[in-house]
Parts: sequence; structure tokens; C-alpha cells
Amino acid sequence: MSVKWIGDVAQELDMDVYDAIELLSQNQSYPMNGLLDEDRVLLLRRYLENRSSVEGSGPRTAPIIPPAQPSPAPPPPPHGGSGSHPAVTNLGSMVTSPLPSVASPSPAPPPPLPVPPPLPSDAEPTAPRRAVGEITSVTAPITDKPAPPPPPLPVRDRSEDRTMIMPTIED
Amino acid sequence: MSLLKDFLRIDADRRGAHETLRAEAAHRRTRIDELASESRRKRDEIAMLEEGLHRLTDDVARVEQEILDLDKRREEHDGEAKKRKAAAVRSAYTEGFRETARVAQDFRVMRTEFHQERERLLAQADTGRMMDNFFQIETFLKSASQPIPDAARKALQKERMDLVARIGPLVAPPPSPDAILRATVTYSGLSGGDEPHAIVAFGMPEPETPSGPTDLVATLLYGAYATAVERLGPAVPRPSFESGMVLFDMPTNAREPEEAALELFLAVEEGMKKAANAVSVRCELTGVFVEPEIARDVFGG
Repeated sequence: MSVKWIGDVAQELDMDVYDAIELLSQNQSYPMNGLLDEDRVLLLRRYLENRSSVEGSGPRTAPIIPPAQPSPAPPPPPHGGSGSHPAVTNLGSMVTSPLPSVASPSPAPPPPLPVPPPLPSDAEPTAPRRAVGEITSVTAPITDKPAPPPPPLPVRDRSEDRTMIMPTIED
Repeated sequence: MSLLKDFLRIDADRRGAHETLRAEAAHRRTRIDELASESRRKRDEIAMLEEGLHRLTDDVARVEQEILDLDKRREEHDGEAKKRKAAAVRSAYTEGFRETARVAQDFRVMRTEFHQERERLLAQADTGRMMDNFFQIETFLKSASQPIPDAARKALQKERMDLVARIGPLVAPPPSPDAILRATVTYSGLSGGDEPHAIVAFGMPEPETPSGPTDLVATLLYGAYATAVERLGPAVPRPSFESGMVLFDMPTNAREPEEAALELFLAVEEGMKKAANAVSVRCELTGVFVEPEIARDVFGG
């Protein structure tokens, strides 16, 4: 397994080296000697791909929802309204789900597609990033079967203690 | 005759009365002399007291002036101590810069030569075969599944030694300097200004551009930043460089500046130690809390 210096990897991926360190650190994957194995390089690459796809998709807007018919206010919940309202939950899943069937008022319903599990309602952008390709990702492709869990990242290995072939150093 | 007697008696009474009056007058003069003497003594005492009072007044004025002088000297000493402390902090940064640069240079030379030797060995034709042999011998010697006869073990160990002598850099860990990297890391909380700040600083040269695996400074700095991000989240600022020192300057976000500075310092220190350990460089860091006044002087507000 070859390893690469994090500065070289960041340069290859056209990103700032501190961005790369920050990303790996948030995933508890930064090797303290700065030498990245292939898994970590792949993690950075996937992160960049995800970011570019999110940026390339343009501004995300809420899907067009037909105006709801005015209805009398529902009676208050008997127990003080514990739990979220179902309408709110559905709206959240529509916003975070790429399925067009919910938003488009087409007469014929599309064939059922595997819907990824909805994001938790309290998910915040500051939450720790999960592995790339996770099924809860906004940009994750919809497939017939759920995406396999990402390979577990190796914990900090002492790369210095292992024998490895270094790439050519250009001074 | 009776008239003479009368005259004589009257004269005697007059003389007796004169004597009595003379005695009374003498007594009064004596009393006047005593009072005059008492007044002169009192006047002398008053003069002495006034003189003492003047002396005491002078003494009070002199002591007050001395107190003012002492206050002034204390302020001068405080200012001088502040300047000396700031100079000591800068000196510690300079020393850390020099020490780190020296160890980093040794590290760079040793690692570069090591990698060049690796490249040279890798370019040789039979290097791959020798490496295969080496790792097979290693695996065989470490395997506990089957016993190895002593003679065979000795032969394998000798073969292993020969291979290490020929392709050592390919199978051995990279070398590191024997010197101990000693540096002083300071931390301080600044509560003045618009927003409280936590500052961690130490003397270190800037990493090379672009950095490489032989750049010890970059390794330490990246490790420090990574650990700070792990501990404190992405709010950790990126290190900046200012006249030979590395500066982590983080807003404290309504927290106590000293507390935030201590957390940032612990993260940076741990990261630097881990990074140094990862590249087999011995590292001794000394953490020093710098008073806000000194830090303001050193870091320019």
C-alpha cells in the first residue's frame, strides 16, 4: 500500500492542505505523520466529489407543493402535543429526499422506489460528517439496494513503524 | 509726756507696718521673679516644641516625597518587568525557532538521504527479490506455528542480517535526529478589545512551500492543527506566522479567555507531541501562561 504526503494529496485534489487536515480530523482519520494511505486519499476524493456535486446542483429550493385546502384547525393533542406533527415530518422528508414523485402532481404515480430513510429532524450542518456514500446523504444515488456501509477507516496506524515504499521525493 | 508717748507708739506702729509691707513686697517680687522664670521656661519649651513641629513637618514632607518616589520607582519597575517578560517571551520564541529549525534541518537531511538511498535500492534489479526473501524470513522467524531448529534459525538470522545490510533502508524505519526538540509554548487569554481571544504561540519557522514528508515543521504544525480540530471542532483557527512564531488566535465565544486558551494549548501541545512521536522525534514542550498585559505587548494588542 503506497502512502502520500498530505500536502501532495491536497495539491492533487486542488484543495487547501488545512481543509484536508480539518476533514480528516473531523473523521478522526488524520495520521499524525501526515502520510495518507489509499483509504484516506479516497475519503478526501469522495468528500470533494460530494461537495462539487452539491455545489453543482444549484440552489436547493423546496419542491412545489399544491396549496393546502383551508381546513379547520385540528383539535389540540390530548397530551400536550408530544411528538412531531406528521405533516412536518412529511415536509422534512420531501425536502431532504430527491424523489420527485412527492412534489410533482402527476396523475400516474411513479413506480415505487426505495426511499432512503429520512434524516433525523434535528440534523444540523455542524453534525460530524459521516462516511461518504452514506445512505442518509442528500446526494447519495438512489439504487435498488441500500448502499453498502463504507469500509471502516483504519485507526491511526503507526506508518513510521511499518515498512513501506515511499514515492519519489521532489525537492 | 503723753504726746511723746503717742508719737513714739505711732512711729513704732509705722515702722512695724513698713516692715510688714516691705516683707510682703519682697515676697511679691520673689513671686514675680518666679513667674517670669516660669514664663521664660515655658517660652523655651514652646520654642522647642515649635522647632520639633517644624522638624516633624519637614520629615512628613520628605517621607511623602519618598513615597511618591517609591511609587514612581515601582511603576518603573513594573514597566521594566513587563518589558523584560515580553523580551523573555520573544527570546523563548526565538530560541524555539532556532531549535526547531536545527532539528528540522537534521530531520530533512536524514530523511532525504534515506529516501534517496531507497530510490537507489529500488532501481536495482534484484532488490525486489531480496525484499521478498527478507519478509519471508521475517515471517518465518516470527511464526510460532512450527519450531525451527537452532541451526536453521541461526542461518536464517544470518541471512536476514546480510539482507538488512544490503537493503536496510527498504526494510528499516526511517531515521530521525537524536536531538530533542525543545520548545516553549505560551498561552494567554485576552479579554480586552471587541472580542475575547485565546492565543497559543510558539517559535517555529514556516513550513516549506510546498511541504513534503521530510518537513518536520509541517508535520508538527499539521498535527497540532488536527488535534485542535479533533478536540475543539472546526472553529479552531488556522495557524498564522508572525516574525518567527506560530500563532493560534481563537475567539472564545463568551467563554472565559483563560479557560479557552488552556484548552487550545492542551490540544496544540498534544498534537505536536503526537506528531513528533509519529516521526520518531523526541520532543519536550514547556507550557507557560503569559499574563494578558504581556501577551498584549508581545502580540500587539
